[in-house]
Amino acid sequence: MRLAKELEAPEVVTIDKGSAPRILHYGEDFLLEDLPVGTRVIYPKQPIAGLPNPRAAIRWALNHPLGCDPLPAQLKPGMKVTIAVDDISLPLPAMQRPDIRQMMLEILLEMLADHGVEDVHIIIAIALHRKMTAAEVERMVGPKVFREHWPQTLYHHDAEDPDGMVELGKTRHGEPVRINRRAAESDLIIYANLNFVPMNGGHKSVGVGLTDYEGLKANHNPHAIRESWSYMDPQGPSELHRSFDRIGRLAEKHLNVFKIETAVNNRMYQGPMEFLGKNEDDFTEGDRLKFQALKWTLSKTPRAMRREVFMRVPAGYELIAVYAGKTEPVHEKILEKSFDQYAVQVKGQADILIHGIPFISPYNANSTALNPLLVQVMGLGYLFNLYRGRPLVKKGGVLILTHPCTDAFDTNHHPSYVEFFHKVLPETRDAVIHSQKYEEDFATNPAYIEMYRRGNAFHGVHPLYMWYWGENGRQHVGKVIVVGADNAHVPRILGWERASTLAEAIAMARSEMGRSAQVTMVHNAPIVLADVE
Amino acid sequence: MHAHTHEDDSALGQEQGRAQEKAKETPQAQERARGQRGLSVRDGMAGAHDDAGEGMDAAPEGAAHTKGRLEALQDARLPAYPPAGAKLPGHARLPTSKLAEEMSPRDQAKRATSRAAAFYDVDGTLVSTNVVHAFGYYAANRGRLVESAVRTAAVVAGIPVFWMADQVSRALFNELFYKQYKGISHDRLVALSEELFEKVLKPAIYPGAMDMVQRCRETGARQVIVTGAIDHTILPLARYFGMDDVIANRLEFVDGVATGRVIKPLIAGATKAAAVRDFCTAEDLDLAASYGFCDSYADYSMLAVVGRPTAVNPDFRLRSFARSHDWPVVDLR
Repeated sequence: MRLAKELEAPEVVTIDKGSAPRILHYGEDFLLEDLPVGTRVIYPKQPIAGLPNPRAAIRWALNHPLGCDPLPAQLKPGMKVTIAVDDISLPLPAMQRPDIRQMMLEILLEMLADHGVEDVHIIIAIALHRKMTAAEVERMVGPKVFREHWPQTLYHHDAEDPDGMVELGKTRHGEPVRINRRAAESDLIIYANLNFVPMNGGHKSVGVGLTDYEGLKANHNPHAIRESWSYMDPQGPSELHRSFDRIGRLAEKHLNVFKIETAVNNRMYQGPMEFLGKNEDDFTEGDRLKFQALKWTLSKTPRAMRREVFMRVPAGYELIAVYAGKTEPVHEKILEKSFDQYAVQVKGQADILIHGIPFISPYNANSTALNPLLVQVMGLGYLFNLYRGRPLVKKGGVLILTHPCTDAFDTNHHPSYVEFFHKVLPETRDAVIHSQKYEEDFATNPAYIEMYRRGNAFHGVHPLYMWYWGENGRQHVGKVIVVGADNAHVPRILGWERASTLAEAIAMARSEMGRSAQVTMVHNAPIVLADVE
Repeated sequence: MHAHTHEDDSALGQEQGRAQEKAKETPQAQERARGQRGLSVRDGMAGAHDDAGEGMDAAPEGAAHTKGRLEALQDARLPAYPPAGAKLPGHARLPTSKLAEEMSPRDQAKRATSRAAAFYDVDGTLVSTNVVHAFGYYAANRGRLVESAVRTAAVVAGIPVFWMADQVSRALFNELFYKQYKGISHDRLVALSEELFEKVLKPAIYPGAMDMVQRCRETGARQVIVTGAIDHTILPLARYFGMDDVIANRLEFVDGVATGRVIKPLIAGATKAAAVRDFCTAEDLDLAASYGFCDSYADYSMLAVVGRPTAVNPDFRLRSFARSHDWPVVDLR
């Protein structure tokens, strides 16, 4: 029997007296919590069916591009081509094989070879993200491409290579347009995007993925973030995206860029885990048993092993759209498809918004922890920004997050995060002071630079970007309460309050927002993007 | 300990006298003189150091044939002996390197205002060789064939002993090890040092070491090598990396011949930390803003005293220690 009342859209349900408790992500575990009557729960849309023949769709897109000649018509023997691809910061978790990047690369390389193009380099456009391990690269591009190209002609962008960058000019706002030298000196750059969320792709690809610290300073700063409404609405009022667009347009005046963008559905859970994407009121007895079994197993398993298991279960994402050609028309088409999959109509803002934080973020694929800064960026940077129009929570409202907030860092991947979190944040949480007083020190620290260049570490400045990324959420919400933190100091350093249970957190939030405060929970993941009326 | 004679005491007296005279000149000098008086033990060491320096300057009889080359080397590449501008035992200030001169105006400006230093261990951190390897080179180039063979054999035979000593204490290792230098003439060591650099050290520099040092120089930090190796061995390498200063062990010489003793304090293990601290005090540098780069657990104390420690190519123990302290770990190999 369905006990929850449907509201605006089928994905939005309201908790009734007899509603089932809801499942929330809680790091490498789950919470099962009763919600107050009247709470809205927003569910993701059902996955759009994948294209039946993704390889044929990619070939079709290359031969029917938007705004330019078909790719084969642009190829000549002897030309210099650079293919750029995104790294494993998306999709999350990693998708089942073959990865869409593998399919795109195999098709592109075959097409280039057929046209006598031999000087081809494949660059993983990591900007200041960490370099991937050889095994991670192989999983992403497939064994054939890996065997034939790694590491000579398949490699990571190195934003700290002293001879590896060129400056193409400055935008009218004075933003330096700096990109990878090999890409800049190519006759053709083919950027093959995997658009996991609406923030991906567009002019951000070349302008961010192939640039360096000097290039990123233009938009990865507290000012640009505070002037950005939603990161997930590139067509909305966002200084971040305006800067990407200015940089990308100037780059394309100098470069011949051919873009391929792909949208995936939200089939994050498959097989025995599929029930996690369902409305709890619709659970069968089997689903309930599966969840109890999962909870019992997780309770008996150490955290490190739970992470390993979660990381190794791939998502069943499928290709739902692919377009190729000039950046802007291609991105517009992909955005439409992306919103079709993620956007859910919601009537009105909430006073109190609840998000469960999962074990993963774009910056900790295969890391040993979702460290406190990444918990912060998930809550205030990503989940808060999953809206179009108006934020889902009112200005000055309360954001409730569920996560253990363990003080654990992967020091191979995030060495400078430790210093930022434990030395800088206790001194000040002001992002503007961070940018003025500390940013350059972190960006130029030789140990962090070498770990980025020769190891698998995020660039030294990256933790500051993570803090900036949470800046518009931090400026908007009145309070953040974290449920289930296993220590007191991490929430204190982040400036958050603690609660032992969700019920306690809601009571604390109501004491701020009033007894009649509207409570909304977003049932992520998969991704839900709220179209707030 | 053995080098500390009545001559040292007189040198100490002279040095204190000089410092007191200077103290009358400026407040900064007064401060410096106070610092020197405060370092009574170290003053004694400095006296011994100066004595040894004087000993080195006197050309030994048997070394006349290399004198011209020695002078040329000293003039062209090496700092004067005893080093000018040195404030601490084992410290040599190098002339401004080309690498520093070629820095961008922005980096030059940073350098002018920075109060940070970067302290580098050498063996295993910047180069893959070690002091045993370097001495092996000296031993194998003793001039006479028989002597060369005997020395080389002695080094090889001593390896297990050195290894065991190193496990107990880096200071014990160095003390035992440097006895092997007994009888080698000073000019011979200096003359061989360039050759040693070209043939042994330069090919052993880790890929990425120069990049790392260059990045560090760009932050404005003063570049300092702190090593348990002897100064002759390390100076050409220091020049190559564009270092500003070297803190290294110095052999005691009598009549231009090594006694097999090192002028105290021995730079090794915990005394590296003391040397780093004293250097920062003497040069008015900020220890908390300074960098440290080491490869071995034996040097962890040097990493522990700086604000920005980094384990470079660390051994197992240092790697574990670095992990437990969340220090950056860099692999330059």
